[in-house]
Amino acid sequence: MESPSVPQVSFSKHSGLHDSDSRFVEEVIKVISSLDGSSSMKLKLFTKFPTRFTIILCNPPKMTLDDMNQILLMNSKIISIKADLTSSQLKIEAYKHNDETKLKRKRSVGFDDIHIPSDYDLSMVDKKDKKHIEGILRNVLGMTTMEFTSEIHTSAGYYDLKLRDIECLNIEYIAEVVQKYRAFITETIFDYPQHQMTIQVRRNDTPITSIRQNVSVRKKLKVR
Amino acid sequence: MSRSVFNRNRTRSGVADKIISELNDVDNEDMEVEFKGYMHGGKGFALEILNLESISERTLQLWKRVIEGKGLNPCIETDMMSGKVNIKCVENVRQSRKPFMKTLMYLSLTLTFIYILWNRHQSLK
Repeated sequence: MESPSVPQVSFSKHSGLHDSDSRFVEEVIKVISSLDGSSSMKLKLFTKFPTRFTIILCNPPKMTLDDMNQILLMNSKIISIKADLTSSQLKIEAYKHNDETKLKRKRSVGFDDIHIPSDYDLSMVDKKDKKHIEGILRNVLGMTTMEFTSEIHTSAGYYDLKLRDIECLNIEYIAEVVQKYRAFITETIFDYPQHQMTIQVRRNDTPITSIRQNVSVRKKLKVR
Repeated sequence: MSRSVFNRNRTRSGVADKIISELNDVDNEDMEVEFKGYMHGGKGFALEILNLESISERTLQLWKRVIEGKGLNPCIETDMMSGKVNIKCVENVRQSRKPFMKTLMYLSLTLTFIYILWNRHQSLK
């Protein structure tokens, strides 16, 4: 069987970045370029800060939460990965090579779990699925401050919860919600071309086929 | 079958319109003020100022005063990397009088107990 071809990426050395950081940027582009619809993608790099740098990918392709987790595993110095679906941008912030800044111990991220406003219409959701659908929505409402448009596409086995006009989302927060409702959330898609996020939620009467496992961040190796 | 759960409100309020027209800066003639939307639960709204080349503390203070003048609380975040400023205009929450009432109740109870103890001590003499 033929292995999928790795896209050719040539990345000239950036003055503000160390070789290992440049290599990380190159690898990130390679990973995302291997996905369908990445031809119109553009890269922006901000390296002015002394301790950290930001990679901004404009017009990235449709990505799943697993694709995002691949990036998280590629570098232990990643501070945050943020998805801005409204402006079609993926922002990766990381510490620069040999930076003395101590990485803080990862703690469970916290956000308010707020009540669903009364003007939210969930009449299309079955009574037995209401509890987890409302829970997922409560968490998404808690991690954002601004109103967003939401829609539910119902099918025989699943609900597709589509979120549009949503503010910049921290991938770590999303991963936490997906982990919290891992028995129900089967897929999370960041659809940049359509400017929307889709969360596929299993109906309670549909048998479980697989449960997502939490991906732990790669630990820093010490060579002695 | 697809059905809407909630549709984001896109119509600008009169207060937002007034603030947008009053926000300006002499150093940034090309700047644009956009209405980003409302916050959950009608707590306020957010504005985004684009095409900023530089920003001074004086301008920020001026913008704060414009927003405070409309009875709102400004929360300004500058992102000069992208040349933009995000402003959240939050409605002032009226402080409840309950905490004050509770303090008054505990204070009066403590004073009453002190008086009872003092009274007993006096009668024993």
